[in-house]
Amino acid sequence: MQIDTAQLTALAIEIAKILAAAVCILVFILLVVLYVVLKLRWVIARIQSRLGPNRTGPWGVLQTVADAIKLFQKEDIIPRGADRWLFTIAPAIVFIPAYVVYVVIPFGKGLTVRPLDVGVVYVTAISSISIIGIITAGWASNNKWSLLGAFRAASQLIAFEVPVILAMCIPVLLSGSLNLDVIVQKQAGSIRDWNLFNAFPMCQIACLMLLIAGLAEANTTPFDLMEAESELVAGFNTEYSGMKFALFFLAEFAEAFTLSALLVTLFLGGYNPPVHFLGGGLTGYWFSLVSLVWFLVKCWLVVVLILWIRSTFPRVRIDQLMNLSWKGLVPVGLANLLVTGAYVGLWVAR
Amino acid sequence: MLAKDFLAVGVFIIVGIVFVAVTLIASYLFRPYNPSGEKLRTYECGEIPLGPAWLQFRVGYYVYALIFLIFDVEAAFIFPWAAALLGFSRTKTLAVLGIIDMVIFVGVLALGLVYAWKKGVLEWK
Amino acid sequence: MSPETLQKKFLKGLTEQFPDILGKLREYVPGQLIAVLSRDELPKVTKYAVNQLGARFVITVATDQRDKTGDFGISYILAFDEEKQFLVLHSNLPADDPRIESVTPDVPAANWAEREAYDMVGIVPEGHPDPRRLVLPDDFPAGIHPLRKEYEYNTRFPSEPQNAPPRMPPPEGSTVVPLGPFYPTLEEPAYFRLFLDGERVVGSDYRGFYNHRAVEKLGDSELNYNQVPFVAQQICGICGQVHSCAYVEAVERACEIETPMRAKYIRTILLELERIHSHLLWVGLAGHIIAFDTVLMQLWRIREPVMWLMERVTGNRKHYSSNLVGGVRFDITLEAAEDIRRVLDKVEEEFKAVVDAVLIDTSLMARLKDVGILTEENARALGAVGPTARGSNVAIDCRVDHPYAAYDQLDVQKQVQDGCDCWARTLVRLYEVFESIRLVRKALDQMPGGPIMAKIDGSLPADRIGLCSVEAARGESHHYVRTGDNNRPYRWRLRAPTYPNLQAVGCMIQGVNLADVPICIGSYDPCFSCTERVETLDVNTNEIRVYTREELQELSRRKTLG
Repeated sequence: MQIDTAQLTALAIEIAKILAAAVCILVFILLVVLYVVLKLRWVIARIQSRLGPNRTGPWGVLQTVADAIKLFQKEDIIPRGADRWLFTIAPAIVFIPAYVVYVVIPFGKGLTVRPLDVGVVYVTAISSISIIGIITAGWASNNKWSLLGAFRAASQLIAFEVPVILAMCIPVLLSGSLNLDVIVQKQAGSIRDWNLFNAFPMCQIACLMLLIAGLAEANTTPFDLMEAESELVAGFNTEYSGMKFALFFLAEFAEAFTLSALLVTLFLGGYNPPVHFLGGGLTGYWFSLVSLVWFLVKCWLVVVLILWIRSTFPRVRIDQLMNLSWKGLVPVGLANLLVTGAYVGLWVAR
Repeated sequence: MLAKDFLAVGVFIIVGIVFVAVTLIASYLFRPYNPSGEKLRTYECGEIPLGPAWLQFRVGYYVYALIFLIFDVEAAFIFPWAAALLGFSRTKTLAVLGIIDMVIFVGVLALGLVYAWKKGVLEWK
Repeated sequence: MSPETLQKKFLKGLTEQFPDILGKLREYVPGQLIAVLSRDELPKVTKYAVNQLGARFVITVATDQRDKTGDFGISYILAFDEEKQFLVLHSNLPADDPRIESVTPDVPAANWAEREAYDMVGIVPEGHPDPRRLVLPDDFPAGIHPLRKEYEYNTRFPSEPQNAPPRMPPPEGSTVVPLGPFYPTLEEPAYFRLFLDGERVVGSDYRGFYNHRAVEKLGDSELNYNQVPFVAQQICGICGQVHSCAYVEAVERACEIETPMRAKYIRTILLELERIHSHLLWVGLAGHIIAFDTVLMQLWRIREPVMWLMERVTGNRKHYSSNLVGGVRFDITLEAAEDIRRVLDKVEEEFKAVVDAVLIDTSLMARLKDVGILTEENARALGAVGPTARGSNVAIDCRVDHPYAAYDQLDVQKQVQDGCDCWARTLVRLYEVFESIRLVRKALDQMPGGPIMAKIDGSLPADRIGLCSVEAARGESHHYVRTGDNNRPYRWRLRAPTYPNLQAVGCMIQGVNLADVPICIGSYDPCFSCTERVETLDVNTNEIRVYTREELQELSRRKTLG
């Protein structure tokens, strides 16, 4: 087979483009996590009548930066009984999928790294790889608390994988595509065209399901059983310190942001402005810019909602959690799927 | 097109690995390293650990995993159906057929869930 | 013996079974009967009283009285709560053969008490089902019983690690998971070994007393009557007033000191304020345990003004140093009374809002209902006290059953729930806060004028016995004082409420999920110990400073003198 230089150059340019995008997104994730953690502490402090971080930098904005630097310099301890290699690899197995998911997230018009045609399947498939990392971490630590945390994590994540899939099917049915970009474009127009306000009540149920199951998948309170401080010390990451711990932390908050990005994309019109005159009429680069802003604003709102939920509920117990999924969300999701299917097949096209 | 798609995924995976490697190596250069016996001991609430932690776990976890496996495999069929149904719905017979298919499919799944429920498998012990 | 006592039902039951006991009973103080029995009689009477007459086992007191009578003394204290009566069964054991038949097989509540009597004084409980070391450290030399008079309070014993008590073997097929000594939600060291099948608890073993500070030894050997209250209040960081009050009331009863009524009212008010802030603290901690930190923060915010109030009245947020034998050191002025009313109005309003939210919070109920079941039967058998008992439908409350301070004039309402679970224990505490607020208001209204300190001339009479039970936020704190020469107690015995409640934990967590263990342990409001040194972090210089004992004393004095 002949290798064409023109083709090679094209490939090199393509790789360079993707590489640039990959680095941009990596930096974006780091900044978002720094901000979300800070916001988390502010929001929770406010809800609990406290001040929250307010010393480091103006209004305390540099607090999480300082924390990150501290973690960076922390001694890395691998317990004597641990499996050294698995112990070191585990944080990478958790973090990398959380990062690779961002390939398909439509940040704005034309601002998707690669709008895969199997987008929705890709997201569920890739994000569930993190479970393997968590189990690896729990097992490699050779610590009872870690292993119990890992068992819990496995049961919890697989239990909520199913409701997540069932909820994601609803927007897929309505737009007839698995491509996240297409799903967003179908919601263009004004706020009435968003999936959240479409097909009452199936979409609302699906949105709520995705929120609940997504919180469970993203491992935030009230569903943070796998690292329940008051029950399992710190769960699967009990033995972790320094930068390896920071990677778990990074992945957890990156996943929380992914959840809000997915909610926005699938149900809240993605990057589309809520009313036409707030940017709907723009074209080209201008629209890309405005849509990016809208996407971030919506994500910010969902993130604040998640943080609010986080400080308003006590942690559920593992059996309650499993019941919530298998006896609550899964049956509801199945019924919802059929009803939406009938609605789409018999109603929408006519 | 497909090759280009997965080129992007591949580049992301490589960037991810490089990032993890770089942070771990960089922090290795900056951080202190003073291990001691106490520090390296497995944390068991301040007591000296008893025996290995690779403990036996209940078979109950396993049953959940099996149920999940069934549902997850089915998901691979539900997604294409969901994506295609809107296209089918232009022809009435196709749409009705598609819906009936899925009713049977989900019916079998639900039956399995009900069976497991009745058998008491879904009770966390 | 007074005619009222002779009419009491339990006495009839007792004399029916043991006709000759009537001649051995003495009533030094109203409500407190003491019987000196032989070594064989004592266990029989104890078992009969507990199992047939419904007595509650309180504690044993082992005394080394060889310098006086040449033998050891052992007293089993029982309480007949409905008849407002304490019964002390005492027996003298020869110095060369201090044995007594164990009652634990029939009276499970006596388990720890008998083990402690062996550890500290060397009274051997024969036939005890679990005679392992309980109180002494793992490496304490064998055969040394530190509460015997031949050891100075500051003796240093050599370390002998081979004496560590054996651990209970786990049941077949279960996994041992340690909870403690350093576990994130237990603020104090306690070591529960949990035997797990999957995540279900199938058994447990407890090892504690890590912070045993030998206060009883100090009280027996070094301190005089009015020094003990200041040590007693250090026993617990929350219920210091309870311990010092129980001690001084025990001495006052033993020596028949007439404490002025106003002093009694002041003690009552401080005790109830202490209960309020302790319960507020507990509700917050319970929220923290089930990862509901918003509850923790809000409750502690509501609690804070109560602490300021205490500082306003006594000069300290904690450890009020208020009680002395015969009275109290600080008066409650009219302005302070006004402040108390004002703060309580605010606390009541804010706490009402919290309670209204808690009572309808289904997610909270899901975590607490039907969790940590302690049946009424078990609660009685294991001698549980306080909200732990009252949550299991055991209506005991020392404020009503064995009134002290001014409680006999206040008409306390017992808060009892029959749920037997964590939720019931929570409800008991929530309602008790309102009850306490009502009591403080009533006490402020009724408080008479007059002196706050009785006149005491010369030294107090020796060889008298006084008992006092004070209802702490966690349950009954029991103090026993036997007066001695040179103006100091001959034996001072105390039993904190966590002591019996902790013995009930094994029963409470049997069969629960691992996730519920912390809230079960938390639900009886454990209070294991407090430490004697204080570490502070100066925010401005980031310098860690460890205060020495002298510095702390100096600080405390400066604060008290204002």
